[in-house]
Amino acid sequence: MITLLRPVVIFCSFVLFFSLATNDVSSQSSGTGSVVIDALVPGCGNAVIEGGEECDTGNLTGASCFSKGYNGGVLTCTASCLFNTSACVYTPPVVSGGGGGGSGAAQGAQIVLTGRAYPKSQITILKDAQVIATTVADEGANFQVLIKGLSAGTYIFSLYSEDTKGIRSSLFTFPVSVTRGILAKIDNIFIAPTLNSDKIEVKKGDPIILLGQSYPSSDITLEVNSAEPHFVKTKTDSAGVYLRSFDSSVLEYGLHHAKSRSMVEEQISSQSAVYEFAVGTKNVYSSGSTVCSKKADLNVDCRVNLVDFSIVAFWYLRTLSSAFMLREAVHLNGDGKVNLVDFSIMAFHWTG
Amino acid sequence: MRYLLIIILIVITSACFVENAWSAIIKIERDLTSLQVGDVFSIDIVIDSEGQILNAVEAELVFPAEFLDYTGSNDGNSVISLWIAKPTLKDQNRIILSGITPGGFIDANNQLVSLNFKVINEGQGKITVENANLLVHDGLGTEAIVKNQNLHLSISKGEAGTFYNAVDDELPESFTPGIIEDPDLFEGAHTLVFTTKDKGSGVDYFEVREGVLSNYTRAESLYRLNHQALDRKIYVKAVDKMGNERIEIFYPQNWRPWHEHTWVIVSILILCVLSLLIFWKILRKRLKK
Repeated sequence: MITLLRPVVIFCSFVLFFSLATNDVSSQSSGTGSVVIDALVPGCGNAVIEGGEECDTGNLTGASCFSKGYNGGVLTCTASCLFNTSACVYTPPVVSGGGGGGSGAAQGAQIVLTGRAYPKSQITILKDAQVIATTVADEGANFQVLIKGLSAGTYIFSLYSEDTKGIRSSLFTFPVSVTRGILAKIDNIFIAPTLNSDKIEVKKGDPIILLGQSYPSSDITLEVNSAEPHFVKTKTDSAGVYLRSFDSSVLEYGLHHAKSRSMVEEQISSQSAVYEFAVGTKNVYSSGSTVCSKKADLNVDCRVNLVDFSIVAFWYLRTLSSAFMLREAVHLNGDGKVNLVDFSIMAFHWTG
Repeated sequence: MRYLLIIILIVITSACFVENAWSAIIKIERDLTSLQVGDVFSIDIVIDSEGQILNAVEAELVFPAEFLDYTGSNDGNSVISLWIAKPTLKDQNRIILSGITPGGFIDANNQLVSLNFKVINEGQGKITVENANLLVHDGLGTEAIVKNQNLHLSISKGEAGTFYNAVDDELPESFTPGIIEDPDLFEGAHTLVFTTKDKGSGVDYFEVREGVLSNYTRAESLYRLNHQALDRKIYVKAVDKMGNERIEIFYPQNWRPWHEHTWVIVSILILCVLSLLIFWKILRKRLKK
């Protein structure tokens, strides 16, 4: 009889110990054995989202690591009712086999991406439109990243970087065919410069400042489009920053756009994102803070990715609801329908 | 003389217009040079962007259904990263597709998709591209002028067909499912989104399982979750056309391990206490005897 009783006692002890042990771990994380009193912001802690709160205890207002731009992990809420993304993660650059059946490949292909960006800038790498890795350029603005465990086949890789102001570059996209067991190398990636300005409207005759960041000590060619394009040149400093004043008197009244390219050691970068501005009768200064583009960012999280794609795909070739029609007007081309043109706009603004 | 000048002006204007318009070619390439009844073959739909960056494609491929049986597609090496409409058979002889490539593509040989057929009858026919639309990567969705190259087929009577044994022992690519909650999607319900590719044979289908004890069900991205509490582990299985499977697990925000659920611990402890009581009673009875 004792023999029969023994496993039950052991099991119960295990359950009791395990539950207590986990509770210990939880309490240790907030105070290593001592009593910790967290100061709560007034109203914080009642699970209701109030002014100044991003979340409240378990109420995350539907947010997740995914909606915060990560692609894994668990989003939590701090005692101050702010999102805690410390447990959110990007998928690491090593692509490994997950669970599931199938025999799987013993050895995958690898690819090394090497190139130029901006000093200490973060570079995001997308594989077939999904973020697979991020890396940081060194002080000289050079970067290298190894992607492992790829299947044999053709991939579309895209890279972009962010400057010190948080402005994203345009995507640098290229196809790569990889073979199992072979290390492919892609050198000479040159991320496009960023481009911004001090004004969104310039009084005709006044100067407009065009600025951004690129590789240090590189030659920048700025193109301002009018009836005919105007080209001006400048150079980046040791931090990769460039700034050039452009005389607007040569431009007609109306909308114009500027773009830039960088060149160093006879290597030319891809083209920057386009900066649109107007020539008018007054100066309207830009706020200076980084404002995310509204284009294609349906859920307004400063990213254009699978979430936005899925929202738009739901309405593809369907009659739009009145609520979604308003969003379509703000974020897409505003023609009251979702078709290939809207997806093309989304592909242009994609961040992954 | 005046008419001649007008004609010259029109020609020059037209030439300038054509020069400024973007253009691209959709080609159909075949892996077999001659076809016989019983052959299994594939055609590659290829885009030559003619030096322009394109980022969106839609097209319809029309084939002679009296000669060919469509057996499926392979998008593993497609230049398309995200399908709006995966290659799908419609009206027995029409395959429709549309998709985008974030960042765009520029090349003379961008594979759009590979389509597989089986030859069922002899005769003459052609595979054509219709209603094709290619958009330039300019942020505006500008249309490129599409030039199609159709494929003419001449099928003879044959005895034994040619078969290709496709080999694909690799799993679909790793992926990360996500949950979105949008007021314009399923009335704001939590919806699962996912996508992946398989470089070998292409992804065949997906399955979703909510919780450990439920069963897998076929699903497509934009899957409205049955359990809106977001407290169950979600399994998403991608299966390629050779049957290789990859399962990714998503932990929703309200999911907790079993030992963090108070009711589980309490239930187990109650069961333990009850078991101990029962055993104790039995033991006492036996000891009395």
